[in-house]
Amino acid sequence: MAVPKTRGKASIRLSIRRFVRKYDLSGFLFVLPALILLGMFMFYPLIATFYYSLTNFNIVRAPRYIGLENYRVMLEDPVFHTVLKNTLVYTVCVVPGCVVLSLLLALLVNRVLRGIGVFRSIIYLPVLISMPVVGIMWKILYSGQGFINGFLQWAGITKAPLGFLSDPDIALYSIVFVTLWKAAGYYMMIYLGGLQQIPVELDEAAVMDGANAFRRFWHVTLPLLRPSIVLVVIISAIGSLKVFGEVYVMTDGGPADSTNVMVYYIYQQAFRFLKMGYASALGVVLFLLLFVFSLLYLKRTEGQYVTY
Amino acid sequence: MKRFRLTVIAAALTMVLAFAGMSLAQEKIQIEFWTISLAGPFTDWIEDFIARYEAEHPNVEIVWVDVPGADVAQKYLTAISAGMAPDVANVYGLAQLAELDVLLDLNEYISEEDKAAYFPDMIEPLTFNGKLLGLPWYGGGAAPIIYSRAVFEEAGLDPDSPPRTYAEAFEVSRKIKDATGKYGLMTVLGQSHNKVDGGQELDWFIQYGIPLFSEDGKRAAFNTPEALELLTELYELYSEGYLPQEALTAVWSEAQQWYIAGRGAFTLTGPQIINRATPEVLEALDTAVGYPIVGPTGQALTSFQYVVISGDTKYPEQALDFALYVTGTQLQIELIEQVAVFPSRPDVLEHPMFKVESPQTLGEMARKRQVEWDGGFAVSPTAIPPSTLWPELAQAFARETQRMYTGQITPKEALDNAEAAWNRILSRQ
Repeated sequence: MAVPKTRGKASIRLSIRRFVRKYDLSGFLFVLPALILLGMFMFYPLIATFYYSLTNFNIVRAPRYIGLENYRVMLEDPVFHTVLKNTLVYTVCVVPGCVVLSLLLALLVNRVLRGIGVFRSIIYLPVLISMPVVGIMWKILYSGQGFINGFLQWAGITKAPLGFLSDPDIALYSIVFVTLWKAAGYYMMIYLGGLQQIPVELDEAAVMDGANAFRRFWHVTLPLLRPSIVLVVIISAIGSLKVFGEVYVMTDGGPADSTNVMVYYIYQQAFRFLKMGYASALGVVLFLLLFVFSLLYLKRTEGQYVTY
Repeated sequence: MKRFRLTVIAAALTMVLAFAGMSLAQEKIQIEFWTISLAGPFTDWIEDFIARYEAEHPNVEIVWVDVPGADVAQKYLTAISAGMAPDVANVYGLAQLAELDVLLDLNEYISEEDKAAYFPDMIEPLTFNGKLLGLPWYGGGAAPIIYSRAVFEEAGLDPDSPPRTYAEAFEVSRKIKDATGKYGLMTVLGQSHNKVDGGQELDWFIQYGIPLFSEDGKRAAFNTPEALELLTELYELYSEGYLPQEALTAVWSEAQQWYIAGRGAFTLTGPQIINRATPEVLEALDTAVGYPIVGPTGQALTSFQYVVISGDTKYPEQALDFALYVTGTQLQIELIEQVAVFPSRPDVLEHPMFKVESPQTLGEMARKRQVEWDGGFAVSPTAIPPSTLWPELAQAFARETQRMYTGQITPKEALDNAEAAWNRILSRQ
């Protein structure tokens, strides 16, 4: 058993050298900076959020472990139920809206015309305007004496001004509309990319076979656009579940929580009421929601891509 | 040899001096000072008064940081949790800071004479459980009414007697809307804690003398017949279209914009806002300035800025000295010469600029009204919260009033629900 010390050290050094040679560790060194950054700013906060969700924590004092208490409170919190419902309603409205509206816009501008670039730019313009500016602009448009109410009354459609943002029954949908207005151009570009990758020959072949415009769209264009559609659904769904700016600028979650959504509620709990533990628990629920959704969607669409 | 000896002595002297310099530098006290959104127009002034202070106190170095935006309370908390709180800071959200017990109790350091130099009405709201947690800096004073004589005349009302009480204001609002189609009072309603500028019914409660808390502070006390009457009146005004729909989702400053846009006949505002508006626009509306509108208590609503000192500061005496300097008479006069804010010290009011006999501009007129005001102040609970749990309490109250305004519940139910919510929140104390 008595192996001389020097020999031991030498053999360890040798085996390390062999290991390094065998598994070429230089690759790890190259990704190390990125790994460290990701670890610090992604994985650590993620794990910390899970931990804080089990504590009573107000930023200043040390977190106190309380088990699943935050989750129990959440189940009984009527505002949380409203917020969850609002988030889902918002998502259900925004996602199909984005998918269909942007596709229509993309089809509209996907043709060779003089000055088509200008049209594309105009549709894309709202994407470039920052959210606070968009919010304030729409607040003015939606106001009792704003353009929209003025038009509706002038055209005789409504008698009294509609409370676009102050009527709890329609406030959330008013925000959905602003989101669609702002985001449509962005998703249109994704579709345009997809549309322009579809070979013209396929369309021409369908024409030769006597297919009309609708059938060509339905059987040729749409199936080939599937990757773009999946992308738009995922991006817009994730964006919808995380909506914040519109609510923050336009309604403050009101009136009476009718536009309060998950991220805004998390923000309120964390930074207004300093309930970091509860906010973390809400964050975990949002994370699970996003995670399950992404997983389901990827699973469903796996291997369904069409090529001709 | 002689030269060598000289060299050695010179080197030794240099080293001694260098070490002395280093230790002097180490002894220099660093005080970090936060302001809220003052950089830009006030940068030169702030740098100048810091330089003057440092010249008088060679061992002190002031590090000035201007924090933009309304999220200063969160930034301050983050700084505290990181152990990097500024020594002296102008902040919001005093209630939460009081609850977290992270501020210096100035009563332990301040002399009675220094304390007495401020308006007692402004010292009192900064005192939590006997601890003085801040020094009042500058404020809005009592916000006077600005009103359009043209609209008053159009509605057949006397343009020389604008409303003096809320009861009158509500009545006049109905008359103006019925006669001209324009709104009367421009205000916002049902504001949650997130928009801290004003427009909460709780501010009205204070002016109506409706108590918010029971004597021991453990229960809500606002569910009174007076409160019900006030809420019912506000509900009727809103639901009958005498207040703009957007009042529910707008922020306080928008009410003043509505006035300037000619949508309504009057609003409450300070001279600093009047000075910012284009004079031609105000002239076109034939704007005049009256006195503040008050409730039954006769007190005018006010709010003000304050500076706090971190409980973690290594130099409490020096930090307090600097805070007293910043909020002192001289610097308040210098600030007020630049912008029409209201001082927190009565002696500043002795300055000639507060003694203008015949004001030329609306801003000067508003300032004159503020100085003449002798009805006392009610400090807005929205601005300087009276409870450590204020954000949650205010949010719970706003939720119920918003449900009331949108017709989901009656004013009585709103009061009952809000009372129950408050008692639930307060029971956690």
